Amino acid sequence: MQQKPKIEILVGQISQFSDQKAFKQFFDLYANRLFEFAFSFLKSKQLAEEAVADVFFKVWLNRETLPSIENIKAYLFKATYNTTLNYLDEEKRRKAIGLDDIKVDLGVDLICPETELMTKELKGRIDQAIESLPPRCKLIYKLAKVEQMKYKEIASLLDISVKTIDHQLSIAIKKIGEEIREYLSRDGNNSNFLVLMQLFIPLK
Amino acid sequence: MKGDSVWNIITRHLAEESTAEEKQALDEWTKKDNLNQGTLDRLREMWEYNPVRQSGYPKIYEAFKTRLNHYEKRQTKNPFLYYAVRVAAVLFLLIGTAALVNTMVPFYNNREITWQEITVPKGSRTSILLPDSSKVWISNNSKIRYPDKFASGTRELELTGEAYFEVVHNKKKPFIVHAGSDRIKVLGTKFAVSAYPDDSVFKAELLTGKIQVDIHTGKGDDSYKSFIVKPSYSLVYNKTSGDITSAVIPDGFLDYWKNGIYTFSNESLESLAQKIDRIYNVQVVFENDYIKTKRFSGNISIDDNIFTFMEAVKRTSLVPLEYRYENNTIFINLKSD
Repeated sequence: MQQKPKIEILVGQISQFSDQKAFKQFFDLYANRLFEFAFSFLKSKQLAEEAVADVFFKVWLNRETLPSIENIKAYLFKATYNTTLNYLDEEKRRKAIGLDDIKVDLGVDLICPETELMTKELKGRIDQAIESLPPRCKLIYKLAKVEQMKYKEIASLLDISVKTIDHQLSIAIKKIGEEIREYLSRDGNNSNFLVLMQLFIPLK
Repeated sequence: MKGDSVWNIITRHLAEESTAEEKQALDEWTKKDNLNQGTLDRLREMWEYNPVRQSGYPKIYEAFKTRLNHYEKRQTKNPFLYYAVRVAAVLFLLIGTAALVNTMVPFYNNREITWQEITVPKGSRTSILLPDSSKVWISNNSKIRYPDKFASGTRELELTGEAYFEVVHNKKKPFIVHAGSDRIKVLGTKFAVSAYPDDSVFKAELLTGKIQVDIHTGKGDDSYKSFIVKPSYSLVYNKTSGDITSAVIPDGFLDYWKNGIYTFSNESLESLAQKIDRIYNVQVVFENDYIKTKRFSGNISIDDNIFTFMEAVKRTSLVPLEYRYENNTIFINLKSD
């Protein structure tokens, strides 16, 4: 979020003055994230690198139109997604679109810290919970958390409904949350535990 | 909570998608119990932890740079070369005029005629209006020489390279395009000529009207074989083999001649390769036959270059492709990974 004004400056430099240094900074902001995203589908480091290079090449060629793009991040991810799908043969493409056969590397170390609140044990439980999520759920989780994308952005990126995003993401949070809850309650903090669980089980 | 699981509300809260109502419900939930509060605190901490990642993929930038260099090499006109071509053109004009005017004396009533020469560098195109109001679109890497007025009984000009003509009808003054030793005679029509000296073929393509193509047979200065070309047909003369063939002009080429854009839909890469050859003067070699059958839709613009086009093909292709450029030839193959 705090990068926002900086990106606008970079985009201005790039579009008006074809500033290559600014473009490199712009590149550095996104290249890794796009690579990881592309890698989820391509599962080949080399192909993912090529795909991201294609995206940036296209952006550079069309740099004059950059300021007119409302949401640069969403645009870059969408461009990467499309480029990535084009790299796949038809069968793999179908699977990737269905998001049911992708390998999403969440880089767990980057996703959960070890702090005063998070003991090593709790962190381990959370890591495991995240790792065991189905691929589609994992990808959505990563886009929402790490890329801080809004539901709508993820929905249009992956061509699925906002409802699906909402549902998939809460599957992830539920799984992680239950781990946390169980861990905390085991420490004798659970006097009201049963009552509360009943309260929050869906009524219908 | 109205039937929604608390997890769903927590999720929306973390993702900043929750409504005011949901926020309030969550507030109530956390106040109820330390365990709730603790769970939410940890979830939030985890959610908000996103360390800044360092750039760790130098290869991506290298790959981007490679594309860019490739592209720029084709795009930038070498200013010195461009200048040299112009100087050479002027010199040629000075030296050439005397000889030409001499040989063309019968066509002109006086020696006051000056010759205009338009040279179009690689990667660009232009259009001009001739003294008789005929219009010429001059392609990429081509040159045209014409008099500032058509004084004699014919309208004659010289072409090196490729141009598209829309000739104003004038029965009394035939319009003649000299391309090397070959020539095309017309009365009034729309046609294109491709006569690059380095090319092995000379080509005339007729849209409407009638043209007569005179191919120089090489026996004597005045020995020609004449061919009449039908509308929407092309005549191709292979300078090496001596073969002369005729074929239908592909659809979409009118736009190409006029605007430098060739629009195609669901066309096989094999067929597109011929267009690439035609438009960018670059040969395409398929190192894998399967690729030939892949179909594409889109535009080829003379204002782009072959690399922009190939990048687009590569990007949109369902089968991963790779290509390399050597000696004015593009080699396309399946991507080896």
